[in-house]
Amino acid sequence: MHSQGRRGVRHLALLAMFSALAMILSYVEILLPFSFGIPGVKLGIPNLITLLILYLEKGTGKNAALVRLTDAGIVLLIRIVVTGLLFTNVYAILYSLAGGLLSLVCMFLISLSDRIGIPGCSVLGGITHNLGQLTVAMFVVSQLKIWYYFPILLFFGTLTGFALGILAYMIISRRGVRDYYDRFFEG
Amino acid sequence: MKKTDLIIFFSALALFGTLWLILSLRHTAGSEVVVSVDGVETAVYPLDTDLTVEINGYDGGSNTLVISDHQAKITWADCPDHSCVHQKAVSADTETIVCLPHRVVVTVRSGEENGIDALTR
Ligand SMILES: [Zn+2]
Repeated sequence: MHSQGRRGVRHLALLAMFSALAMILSYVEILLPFSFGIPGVKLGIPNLITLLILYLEKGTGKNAALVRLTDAGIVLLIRIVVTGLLFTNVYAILYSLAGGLLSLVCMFLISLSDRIGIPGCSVLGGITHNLGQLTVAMFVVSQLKIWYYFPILLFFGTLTGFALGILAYMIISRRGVRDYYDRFFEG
Repeated sequence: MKKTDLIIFFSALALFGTLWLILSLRHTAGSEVVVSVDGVETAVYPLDTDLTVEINGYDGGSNTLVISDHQAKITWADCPDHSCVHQKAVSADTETIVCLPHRVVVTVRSGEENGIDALTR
């Protein structure tokens, strides 16, 4: 019982740390002078944290798949609600939620497979992130015309996703990170 | 990094390339500007007549549409993000400017078709 309680606390601390990191990345994304012309539609840089949680936890082999999904989901929701309230507006929260949740489900399902690696997972996560945002935008203005933006979003979603995927892969394959992370789930 | 990762990456880029090619082949000069608010077409203006007009957006919002030199642009808006003002001027068929807070969509069309693309609610 005692050790389980300690593990719970460590788990909580880890999720808090990831949430803080995700918020920083969200803020960086807001600062970037990059616009697709649709308000609220973003590159999806905080997706890096979702990738890290899914694949680091997968690597330890200690947490069930469902725990990975809920961990990543909790961090995602905290990040979107807090940064949404701090820096942006209700619209932005709506877009972030649609993009974030859709890409989370997509990346989680892919992470169950061993045939696709982290960069591929990240590319598909980036694309679904933008698809989710476009879909919400379409319903907000009740116009199909908004799909005019799809090709350019596909392009940037793919490039950003691939770059973030390589970055996540490099972070996760470092022994230091791996050992540090493993210790969180011991004792 | 696995082979499937590269396959996914390059297929996505190939899909983009194909879509982009199709769009640029179909690229034709527009002849009129269609304004829709909350999915309802509210006005159509010819692209070859210079004009400055106020669009009454959803929830009392207001956007200024300027047509000059065969191009349409939103020059002013009282929406919170001003993203519509920062979008580039449009002139070719299917090019679009969106103001999400005001639910305003400004689209250029060639004038041959007049189907309404609004979603039915
Ligand atoms: Zn606007």
